[in-house]
Amino acid sequence: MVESDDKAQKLMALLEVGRKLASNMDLDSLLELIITQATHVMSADRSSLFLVDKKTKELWSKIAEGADEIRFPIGKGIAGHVAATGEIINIPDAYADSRFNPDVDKKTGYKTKTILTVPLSKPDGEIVGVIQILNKKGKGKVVFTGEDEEILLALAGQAAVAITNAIYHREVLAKEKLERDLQIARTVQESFLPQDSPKMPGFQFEAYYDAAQEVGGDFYDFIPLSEDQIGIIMGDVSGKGVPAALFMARLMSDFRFISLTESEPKDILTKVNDLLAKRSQRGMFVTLVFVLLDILKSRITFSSAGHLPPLLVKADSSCHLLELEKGIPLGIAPDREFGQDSVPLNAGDSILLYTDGLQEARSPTGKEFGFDRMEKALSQKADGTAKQMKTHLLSKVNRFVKDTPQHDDFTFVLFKANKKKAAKKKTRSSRRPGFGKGETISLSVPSDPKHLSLVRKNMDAVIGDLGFTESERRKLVLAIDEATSNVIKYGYKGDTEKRIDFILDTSGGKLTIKIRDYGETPDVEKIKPRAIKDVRPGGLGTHFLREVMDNVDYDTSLGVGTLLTLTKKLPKGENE
Amino acid sequence: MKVDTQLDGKVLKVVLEGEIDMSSSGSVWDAVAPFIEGKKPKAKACVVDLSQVSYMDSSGIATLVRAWQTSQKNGGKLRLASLSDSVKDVFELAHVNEIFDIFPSVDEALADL
Repeated sequence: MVESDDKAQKLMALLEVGRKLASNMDLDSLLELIITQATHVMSADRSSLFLVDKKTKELWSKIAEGADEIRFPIGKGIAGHVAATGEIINIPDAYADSRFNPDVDKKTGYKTKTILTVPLSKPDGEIVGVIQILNKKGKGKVVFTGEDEEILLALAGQAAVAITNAIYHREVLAKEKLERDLQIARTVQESFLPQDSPKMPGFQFEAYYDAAQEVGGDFYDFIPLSEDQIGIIMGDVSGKGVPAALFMARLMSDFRFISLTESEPKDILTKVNDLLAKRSQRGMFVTLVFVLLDILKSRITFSSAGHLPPLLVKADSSCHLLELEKGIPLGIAPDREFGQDSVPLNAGDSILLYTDGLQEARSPTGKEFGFDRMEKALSQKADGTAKQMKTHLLSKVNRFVKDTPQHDDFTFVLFKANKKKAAKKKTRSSRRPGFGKGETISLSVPSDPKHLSLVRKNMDAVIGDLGFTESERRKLVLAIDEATSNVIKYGYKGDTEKRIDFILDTSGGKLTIKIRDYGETPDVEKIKPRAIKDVRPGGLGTHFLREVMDNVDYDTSLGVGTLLTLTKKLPKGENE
Repeated sequence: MKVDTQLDGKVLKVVLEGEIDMSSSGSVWDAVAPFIEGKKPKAKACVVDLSQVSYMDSSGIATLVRAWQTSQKNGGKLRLASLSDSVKDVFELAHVNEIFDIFPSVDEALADL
C-alpha cells in the first residue's frame, strides 16, 4: 500500500512538473527547474543535467550541481554512454561499479552511493541530453527501483520536449533581433544614399538602388565639388549586413572629405585607400570607381579600384567599356597608386556606372543578365533621355529575372550629356565652393572638432558672396560652428568618426543651412537657450543660434538623427 | 591656436593667438589654470591679450568665464585686453561685456596692477 501511495504521489508530482516545464521558455531557468524538480520528485540528494551538442558531439552542462560548465565526448563515462545508446543505467553501489569515476567525489568530498541515469528522449527518439540523479534518500540502504526508472524516464521525456521548445524559442528571438538589426542598418544605409539626383546644367542624372533581402554593400554618391564639377562614386563594399552598411557610411564621408583637398580622382583614391588600410577592419574592402565630371569641358576623368569599367553609350548607340588599369580594391594595402583616364562626352553620350549585381542578375534558369544584354538595352534607347534609358534597362532586367529572388544588390547610376549643348561657357570656374544665387552646395565632414575650422572656412567662403556685412558674416559662421559643435557633443556624444552633412541654399531670398546628423535624437524641449547669465557651453551655443538666425528648426522625425534647419534673410539689394 | 603665458612677478600675461573653438579651448584652460588655481595662486592678476584671436565661439567664452570665476574665488583679478573684431562680436552675442573687465590695450590693463 505504501508503495502504491508513493507512486500515485510521484505521478501527481510528475503531472505538475510537466505543466511547469511547458510554460517555461527560458532555457537557463528551465534547466534549473528540471534539476530541482527531478531531485524533489525522485527523493534524491542531487541531480545533474547534460545537453547534447550535436556539432561537437559532446555533452555539456552549465549546472551540474557544484561544478562550472563541463564538457566531455558522447560515449565517455556513464552519462556519455547513456547519451550514445539511450540505455538506462541504474547503479545501486557506485564504488562497487567499474563504470563509476570517483574523481569528482575526490574533488568535492561528496560521497556518491546510488546513481540513476536516463536519456532525455523526444517522442521521435532523438536524445537531446541526459539526466543523472544521485543518492536516493531514505532509511538504510535504499536503491533506485524499476518504478523510479519509469518515473524519471517520463519526467525526462517531458523535459526533452520543453528543452527543445526553449532552444527553438531562443533561436527565434535571436533571429528576430538579427532582423531588427538589419532593418536599422537598412535605414542607416538608405539615409546615406543621395535622396535626389544632382541638377547641373546640360546633364541629366539618374540612379537606381535595390538592396537584396539582406542589407548589401552597394553604394553611390554625388559629391558637388564646384559650380562645374561633380564627383560620382559607384562602389561595392565586401560583405553584407550591419558591418558593411556602417563601413560604407563612413567611407562615403571619407570621400566627401578628401575630395575637398585633392582634385585628381587617382589621388583621391590613393588617400582614401591609405585611410582605410590604416583603419583595416577585419578584412573589409571596397571596389569602386570615382568619376569626376566637368560640365564645362564636357569631359569625365575617372579612376578605378578593382571595380567594373564604366560603360560609355554614345549618341550613335555604340557602346564602349572604358577599361582601365583596374587597381586593387581600397582597404587592402596602403601606398597604392591608381590609374586614371579621361574621355570627352559629346552631346547625347551617356555613362553607366554599376555594380556586379546588375550583370549577375539571374533568370529563373540560372543565366546571368551579362554585359551583352546590358549594352543592348541601353543602345536601344540611346536617343532617349537618361530617365528613359534607366526605365528601359530596368524593364529588360525585370523581364529577364522574372520572380527569381536576387541574392545581390543591384545598383547603377546613369548620367547623360544633353543632346544640344546647354552648358554655356562661364567666366568663373573654381573648386572653391562659392556659389551663385539659388544654388545649393553640400559638404560632409567627420564629427571631429578638428574639422570645425574647415567647416568655418567653407561656410565663410560661401556666405562671403551673399552681401552680408563683415560682422553678420562672422556671426553666421559662428552660428554654424555652434550648431556643429552641439551635434558632436550631444548628437554623437563626442564620437569623432560619425558624419555631419551640410546643405546650403540661397533660394527664396533667404540663406538656408541644413545640418544633418545621424546620432542620438535630442529631446527638443531640452534644447532651450539658457538664461544669459548662466554661461555654460551648450546652452550658450544654442542662444547664439537663436540670436543670429531668423529661424531655427529641429526635425527629429527622421528615424535616425536630427535635421537642423537654420534660415536667415538675405540682405536687401542683393535679392532679385 | 597658440597660448603664450608669461609670469612677471605676480602678474600673468596671456597672449592667445588663432582660433578658439571646441577643439582648442581645452588647451587654453590647461595653459592658464596652473597659474590661477589653488588657495595661493601663482598669479594675483591675469591679463589676457585677445588682439590676435581670429575666431572665438561659445566654448572660448566658457573658458574665459571659468578663468574669471576661478580668479574671483581665489581673490585674484582677470582682465581682458585688446579685443579683436571676432571676439567683440561673440562677446556682444553672449552679453558678457558687463561681466569682464575689458581694456582697450594690454598696457592699460597692466597700468594699475
